[in-house]
Amino acid sequence: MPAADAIDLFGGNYLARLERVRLQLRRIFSGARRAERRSRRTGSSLEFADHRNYTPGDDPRRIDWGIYGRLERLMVKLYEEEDDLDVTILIDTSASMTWRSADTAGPSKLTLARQLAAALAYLSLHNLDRVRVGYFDSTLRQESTPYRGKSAFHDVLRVLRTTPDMPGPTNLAASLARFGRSQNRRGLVLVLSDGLDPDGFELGLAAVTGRHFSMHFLHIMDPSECDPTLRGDLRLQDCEGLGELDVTANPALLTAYRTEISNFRASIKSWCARHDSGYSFILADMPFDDVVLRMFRQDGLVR
Amino acid sequence: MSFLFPFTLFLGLLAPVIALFYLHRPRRRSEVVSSLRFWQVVLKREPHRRFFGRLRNPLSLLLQLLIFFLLLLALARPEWGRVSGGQSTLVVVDARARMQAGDTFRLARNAALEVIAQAGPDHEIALLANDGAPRILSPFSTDPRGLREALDVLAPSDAGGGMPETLTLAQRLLAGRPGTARIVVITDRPLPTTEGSQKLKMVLVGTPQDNVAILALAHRPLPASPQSEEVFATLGNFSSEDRNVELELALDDRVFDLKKITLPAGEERNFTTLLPGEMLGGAEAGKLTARLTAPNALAADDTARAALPTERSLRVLLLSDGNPFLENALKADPGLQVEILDPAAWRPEMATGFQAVIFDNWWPEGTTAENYTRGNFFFFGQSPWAVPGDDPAASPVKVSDPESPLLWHVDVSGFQLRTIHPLQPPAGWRLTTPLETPTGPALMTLERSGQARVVVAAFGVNSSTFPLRVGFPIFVSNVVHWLAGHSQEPVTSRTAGRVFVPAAGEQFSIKPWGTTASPAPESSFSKTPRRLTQNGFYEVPSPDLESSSRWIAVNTVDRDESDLRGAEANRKTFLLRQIGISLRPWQWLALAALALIVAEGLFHHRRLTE
Repeated sequence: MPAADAIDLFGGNYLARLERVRLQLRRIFSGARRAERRSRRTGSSLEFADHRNYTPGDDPRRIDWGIYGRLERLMVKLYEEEDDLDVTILIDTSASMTWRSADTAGPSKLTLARQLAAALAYLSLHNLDRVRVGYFDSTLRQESTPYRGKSAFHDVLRVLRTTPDMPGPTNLAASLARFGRSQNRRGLVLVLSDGLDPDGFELGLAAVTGRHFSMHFLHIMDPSECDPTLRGDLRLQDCEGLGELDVTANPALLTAYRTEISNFRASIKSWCARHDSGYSFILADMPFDDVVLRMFRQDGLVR
Repeated sequence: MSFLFPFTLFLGLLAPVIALFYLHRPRRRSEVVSSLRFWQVVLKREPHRRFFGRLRNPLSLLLQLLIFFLLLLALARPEWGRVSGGQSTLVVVDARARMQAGDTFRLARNAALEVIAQAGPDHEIALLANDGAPRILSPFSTDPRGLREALDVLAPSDAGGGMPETLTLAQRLLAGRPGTARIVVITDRPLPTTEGSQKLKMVLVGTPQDNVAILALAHRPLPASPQSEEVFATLGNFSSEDRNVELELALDDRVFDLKKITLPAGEERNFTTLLPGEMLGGAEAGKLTARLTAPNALAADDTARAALPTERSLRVLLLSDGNPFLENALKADPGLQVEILDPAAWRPEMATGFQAVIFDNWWPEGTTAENYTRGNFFFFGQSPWAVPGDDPAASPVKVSDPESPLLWHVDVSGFQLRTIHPLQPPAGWRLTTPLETPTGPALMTLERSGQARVVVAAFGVNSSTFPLRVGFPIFVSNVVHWLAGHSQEPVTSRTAGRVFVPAAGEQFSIKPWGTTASPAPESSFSKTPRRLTQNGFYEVPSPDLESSSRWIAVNTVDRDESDLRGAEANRKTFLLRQIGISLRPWQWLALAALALIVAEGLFHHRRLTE
């Protein structure tokens, strides 16, 4: 992604709007540090959680004197503990993500994925969450250290600007399984990918959800992938070097192809719903602002 | 089959070039896609796409070769049935009244065009039409354009019949032709007899249709009131269902009766009505029209016409001592106004005031034949032309001129003369002798054009049995009407297609028109016999220009023409004739090649390029 794009994208006005939203979790996780996110533990925040009987040793300042006046029983107020959250952003950098049709005017899928990752990282850092960024294609290529605090945003951008030089074929299963094994803390995993794994997406995504991560799959596709404008006798070449195929692109074949793409999208969405995961479908030419501030809200990723 | 340009078939040797183009397989255009996954699934799920994809190129090659050979054949100009030395075809197009039904005649014309179109360059074609009688449209010709132009001006007539005469003429025209010859008859139903059928080919067009028609229209003076006319009409229903029709009767376009009639299926019905005398007396032209209003196939037989006599009274002077036979015979004709005078009262100047002067067995003393050169006279018995001397004894009478207007509807068989006054035929007159005996003429007509007419009977009341016969009043009426210049039948109706022969000095319009039409130019009249093939009223102007014109009514009254249930069509060629397609073999081949090019473009080429 050109640096100029990032500077324009994250101007002061946009960042101010981004600060008004925060990531929404489907599950509650325990954090390592105090932050602004609800925890399973009770603690010292201002959010009331429950009462319990007073036992010696409890801080007398926490006794609820109101209850004592009514019931003549000593009860202690419990407050929610607010922890930080581990947010991991995994970006698919396979060759298919860099592919773009000559007819497409918008950015490539990878460019959009990095822009979205930057936005999601910013709003996580703003909420004092721990953010890490990783790249994968046939395997997990790179994983950054966790970042915390808004001041780390530039470090995140620096990571996003560097991508692997030799993108390989997509292998969701190997990449995400490796990620799952390497993590001790559970948290939110955002997977940005086109899902074009010849072996299917199910094993890869199951490797994330099976380890009790909360996952949201951001499915990014190019418009010409969904509605190709090919005509005539063609020799199709896979951009990931997975072979060639002779086809005669006529209206009937293209109609069947579009049906197949729709089925593919529907199957990922259905799989995510069944595994308590979020799903967002994003076309590469969609306005970035619209994706982050409207679509993510509709899909339950932010609130 | 033979070819006009057979050398073009050698171009077929270029066919392998087309195959070479197909052997050279152009490289497919490469296109990088993000994933082959979905394309593989689609092709795997619908394997017929691959099958037809593999089949398409060989199929296209076959189509291209087929198109190539079709075009070659078209260029070679094949001709079916062409023989060396040429071929003669005489096409008979039925143009009778029944061909007007629906689009039968259009189909017949299309069939004739088809014959012309399929003829080879040496093929000679003649066109003959039957519009009630044979009519040559075009002599034998190899020029398709001229033949088509001759067909373009042909229209169906209102006449019927004439097919046997047409076929006879066709066979005579073909008799001297070299090479093979045939007659193609284009009509709506099979001919009852097809003589020489080995040369005859029937092309049937049209379909059976329901029709109602006026089959007859006649009138006569009412016996009880001679000034009024009794009108008769016969209607026919040529269909399988009962039909409700209206019959409208009009005189000079003024309706005087309207009948609602139910005609049983397949039957005929007669109807009579009365035409009042006061209406007839006020008639200008005497055009009686019966019009049938009902939806049916043929319009020509929905209207029938008759011409009524409008000059009702002829002034007749009878100079007689008293002859009840003559007096009663004259009174029997309601159209005569008779005055009877004693012979002594005769003055020569009286002749100008009467259409006929009858001298009953006498003639004015001192006069000779030269005194009767102006006026109309009937000498019954004695006359200036009688030869002096004794009258011979009785002798048999022979009819020498059966077409004489004096003898219309008169039966003279067994007519006996007791004595006869021998007559001396004069010079300087137009003379006819309708009745003769061995001793000389028994009846003589003399005529000087525009000046005088004289009838001389060589017998009187007392010397013959004629006055006792039923035909005597008719004979007397005929004599008076001939003297008055009425040489035609009183009822002037004709069937369409019959020849009309005008009397000497008479002319008639060659086309019909109504009472309101403007006067026709001089060229629209004919003095020579002519067939009247179009229904309507034809004008016969009065020769002396003093009295009004009389009219001839022409009608289609023919059961054969009105009964359209026997039409038969050849179903195989019906559709093509319906849309008027008549193409040469090379044109069919070129069309087939064009259709294949379009199909190849739609189903193959478009798949490659779009």
